[in-house]
Amino acid sequence: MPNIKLQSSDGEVFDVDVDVAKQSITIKTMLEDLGMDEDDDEAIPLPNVNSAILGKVLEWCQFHKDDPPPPEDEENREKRTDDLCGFDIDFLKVDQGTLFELILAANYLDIKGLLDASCKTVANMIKGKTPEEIRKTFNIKNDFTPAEEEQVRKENSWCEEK
Amino acid sequence: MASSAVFKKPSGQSRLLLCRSPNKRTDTIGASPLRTEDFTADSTELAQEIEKLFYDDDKDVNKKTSHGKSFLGFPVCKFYSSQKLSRRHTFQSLSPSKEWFKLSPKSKMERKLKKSSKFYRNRSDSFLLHRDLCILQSFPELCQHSKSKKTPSAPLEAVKKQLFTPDSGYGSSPEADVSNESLCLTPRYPKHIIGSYVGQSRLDIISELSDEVPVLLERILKFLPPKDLLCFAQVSKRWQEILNAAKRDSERRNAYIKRKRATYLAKKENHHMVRRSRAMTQSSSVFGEVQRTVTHGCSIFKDVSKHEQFWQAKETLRRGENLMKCQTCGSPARVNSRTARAKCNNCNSDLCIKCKSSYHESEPCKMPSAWSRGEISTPKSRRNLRRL
Repeated sequence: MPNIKLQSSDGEVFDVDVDVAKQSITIKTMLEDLGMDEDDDEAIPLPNVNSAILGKVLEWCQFHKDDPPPPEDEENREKRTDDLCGFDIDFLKVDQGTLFELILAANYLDIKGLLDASCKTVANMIKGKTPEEIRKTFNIKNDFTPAEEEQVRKENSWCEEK
Repeated sequence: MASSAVFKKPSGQSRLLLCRSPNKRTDTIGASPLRTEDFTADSTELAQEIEKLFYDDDKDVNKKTSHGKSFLGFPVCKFYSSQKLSRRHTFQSLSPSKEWFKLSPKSKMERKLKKSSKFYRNRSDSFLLHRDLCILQSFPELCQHSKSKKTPSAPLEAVKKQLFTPDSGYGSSPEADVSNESLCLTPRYPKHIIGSYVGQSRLDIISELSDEVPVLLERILKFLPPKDLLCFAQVSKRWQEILNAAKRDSERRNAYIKRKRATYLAKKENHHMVRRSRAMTQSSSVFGEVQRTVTHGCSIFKDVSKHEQFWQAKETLRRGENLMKCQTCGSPARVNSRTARAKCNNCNSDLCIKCKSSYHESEPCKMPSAWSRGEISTPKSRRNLRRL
């Protein structure tokens, strides 16, 4: 199996299988467009991803390298968030900083599977919680004045009773 | 096109050069394209060289573009040699239609811009910048092509300078010789190295995302049912703004509020009706019939919450699934039409969708005998007849 080298922002070089790296559409198109040979010795620089997060992303890619390509985005959008596979659930049990960075990295490297999994995880953190609980989860300050809060509550009064 | 040989690697391998487009889309993401002023005089000359390659057939365009906003700021330049091209690229750029030659130089430019902005619509700015760097690194010849040979890799250095200024977010790099001059450059590129928040246990992911890549927020919001969107908007002012900005999802929330309000009002009205009719029936039994219909109506309205249940269940349905009423508890049951089998959400009972009784694998459905055959002489049918 041919390998390619990826260099993170802090200079660390990752030697990975081409098939693993090609899950990132960004890297894939770069390889195709630039016609970089797979046996090229120079590392591909990824100047705005650091080694901590690149390592994580490649770990995910390594596990999912045999997955079929994800289906195209459909208009009737899939709304389930409970269909993550066991590996993803464990993989995404990380601090919120890492989760956020994974979303950004997945977006930058264009890895749809990882992007979806991490977005679902964030959605699950919000789902079924009261505003107060959400604030606690993400450490957010409540900046509504009591009057504003009262108004919002009035607007939503129909929705609260079951 | 004779000088295009310059861009060939010694091995004769073909390469593709893409430059950033100065369209508005990329600007709003957080950076402006590289401009000629950022480079030394050599690179301006280089840029002119490149443009000549592509616009020498068209003197007007050449005049317009050669003096300024060029090279990395220019739409898309594709350099090809004949080998190793994907079919799409070949089709787009090597076989222009006949109309193309009839177009005025101005509309040609406009079309190119349009095309390139389409191509880059979904690319983040950092991606483009990164691409520039890769291209420049893989085209040493391109840099050497510059007329004055004193500073052969002027564009590459300029990009690197931009990339690795301390406040540009790319951090310092061993390659970056950070001189005083480069410190003066304003940061134009993503301030954030992906990975610098690793280890923070609590982070307002939503607000951070809306700063960095607002497009991604929609991806998260679409996973939230409307009820959670309501809570979402109540977290903080920032979150409320974010939700209001996401048009599709705030519409979803408003529709939900509307629906809820409708059912709420219907319920309220119904309460009034029942109370009024009760007050009347207490005095006389003539209204017995009315009362029966009203209580019957009441039972319909009890189903309003059921109706809600079905609405909610509907949102979680997958493709090819639908809902039916569970015979035992009346709550929505998920129907798998392929196996003709339904599963109740509430009591978890397994149902056959044909006879609506519990699932019986391959055995034929057992219908209630009198009901299905409609025999004439059964006691039930006789009773029905008498009632008529």
